[in-house]
Amino acid sequence: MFTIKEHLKKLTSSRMYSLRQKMLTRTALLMCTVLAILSVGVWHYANTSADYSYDRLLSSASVTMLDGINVAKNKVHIDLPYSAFEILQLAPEDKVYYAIYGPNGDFLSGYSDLPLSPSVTEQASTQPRYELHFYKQQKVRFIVRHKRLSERSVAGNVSIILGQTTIARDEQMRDTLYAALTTLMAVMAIALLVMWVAINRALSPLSWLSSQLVSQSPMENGRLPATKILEVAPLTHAINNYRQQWLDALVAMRDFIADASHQIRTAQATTKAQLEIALSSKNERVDKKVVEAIYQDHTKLTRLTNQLLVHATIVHRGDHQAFTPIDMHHFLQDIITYAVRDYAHTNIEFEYVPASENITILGDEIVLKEALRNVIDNAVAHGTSDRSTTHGVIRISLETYDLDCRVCIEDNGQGIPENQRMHALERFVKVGTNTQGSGLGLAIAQSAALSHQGRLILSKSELGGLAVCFSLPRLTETLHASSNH
Amino acid sequence: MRVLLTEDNEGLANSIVHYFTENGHAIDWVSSAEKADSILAHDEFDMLILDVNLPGKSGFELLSSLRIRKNPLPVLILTARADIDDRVSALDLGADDYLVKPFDLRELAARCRALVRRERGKSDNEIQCGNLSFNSATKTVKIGDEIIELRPREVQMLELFLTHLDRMLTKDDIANRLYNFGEAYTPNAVEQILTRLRKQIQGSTLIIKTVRGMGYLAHVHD
Repeated sequence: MFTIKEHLKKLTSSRMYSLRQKMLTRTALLMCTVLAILSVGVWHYANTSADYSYDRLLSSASVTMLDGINVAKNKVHIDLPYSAFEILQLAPEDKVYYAIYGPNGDFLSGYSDLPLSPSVTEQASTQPRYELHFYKQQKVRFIVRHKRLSERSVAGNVSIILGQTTIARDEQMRDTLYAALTTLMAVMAIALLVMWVAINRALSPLSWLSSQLVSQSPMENGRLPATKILEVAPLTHAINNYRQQWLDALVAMRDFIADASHQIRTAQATTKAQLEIALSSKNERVDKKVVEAIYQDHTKLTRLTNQLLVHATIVHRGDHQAFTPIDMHHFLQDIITYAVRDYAHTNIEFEYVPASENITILGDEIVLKEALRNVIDNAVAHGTSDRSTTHGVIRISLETYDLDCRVCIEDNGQGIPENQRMHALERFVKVGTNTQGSGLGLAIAQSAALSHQGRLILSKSELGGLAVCFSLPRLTETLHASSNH
Repeated sequence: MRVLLTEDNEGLANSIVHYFTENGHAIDWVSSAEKADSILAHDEFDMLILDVNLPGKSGFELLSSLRIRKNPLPVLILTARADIDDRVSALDLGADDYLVKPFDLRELAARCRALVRRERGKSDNEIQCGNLSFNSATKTVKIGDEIIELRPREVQMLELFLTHLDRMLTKDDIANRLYNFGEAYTPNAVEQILTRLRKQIQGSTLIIKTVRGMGYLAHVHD
């Protein structure tokens, strides 16, 4: 069942169709139905009206003929008046048949083999009876009318059956029908035409839009021209907005690539130049100092490349939003353990100040790990380099702050002057005496914080150096429950 | 130690082989997971350095087939993939450690030694950490060739650290190992023993770091 449904869904969703064609076909189908119903009505009307007019002729002719039936010499005397036939002459092509029956139902005159006969029970006062019969291979409309003769010698009903073929009335019926149908069809055709024009008119903004979009390159900073159509304006606005976002992202990426290429190439050029000098040296033995310098520069290049890749990955993963609940206490303990292990040979002391309660956030563990690691590396590199006499101290603390949690990494180094702190968050910006770094550590941390709907705060630490704080939204119980669903 | 290196980049492999040989380690190099598999089937190694991206079978496949066969050989994964998830999945698959290319050869050698040390500490009585050696049967501690005299609690503490290298131990972890249920101790006692131990092993490559708010971590820097 499920597979059939899916299959159907696939079929219906995958097929392309023309809106114009669909609307036109549907309208045409609807109109044909209306036309069919109306045609039946018109046919019925045409039939009734033709019958109505020609039955009058039959009726008056039969009355006139009955007038010519009298009693003379104790017998029924028939003298059919000429006027009766004149009336019937109004349908010149039609043939006329009649029969006259006496009071006892005996045949008096006319055609004796007509397909109907007067019934005895019928009264003269009753309305004349009309019937349609096939007679001599033709349709014939008959009228049966009675007249009461009340002479002493002859008393009773004389009946006349008068028939007329239906050529004239059929023709009138056809005329009426055709005239009405022609009008109807013309109206329908005009309606369809109007519909077609309307649909085209309604769809024209679409083709206008696509022609506009085709003619412009998506990379160009061109906006779609303003439209006066109220219904189309939101669409062009949305497209313009969407495009602007793309362009902004593109510009950011372009800047990043330009900056990155500059940084990487400069570093590469340095190492390459050093290698060339070492190679072109006239000494057979390469000076170890030269190699040492090359090694140092290459290490810098490596760090730069790694951080660029990390930065790109964080920005990319930030779009994915593959977040899971993270227990911050355990998470920080893991990070600190790794940091202590990696910097065990230095005289740096690590400190951890845990929060008084359990803190969980919704986040990307890998991104946060990279970001924190970068800030810790920064603290190790810059927090202590200038104080060879005292121990470097790095304090990592976790605390709640309203609905957020704050993870702070503080050091006892020189710190960054307040007026340069915002600047320090930018990519490739190295602040102060720092020449070894890539200038990306804080930018990575900033991107990570932003991708977690948080922010990065730089301030002066109690320890004397820089305090880098991640302010990240906490996962409350209700949020946690909904994220589990 | 005897190391098997599985790495398809010849330049890098040559450098690693050169460095390890210079430092007195036996190292064999193969360029594919298939070859590594067949060598591992009949030769004994102390550890395996495994690149992830290999022609044919990938490093991860070799690692999981090793672990399925319950082979406890310590494995260090080398990865250069852009995706940082690689490191996580490496550890999930049963790798003991990982390094991201490019790395320092010194770092690689140190990590290898740490892994081998950890594995040997489980079976041997003798634990060797750089210039510091500890015999768990005789409880003798040597720095270089010189025997260090330690008090019983200091020996217990040292043994605890040596069997938990690079792991964070809380004060309670240590106290639980050093004292019986009946023995009363002050929190300062652990600190005092540690201070004496640090003084005694000064000059060795074993470093015991204090992390305020968390605990203690021992690391061999060689």
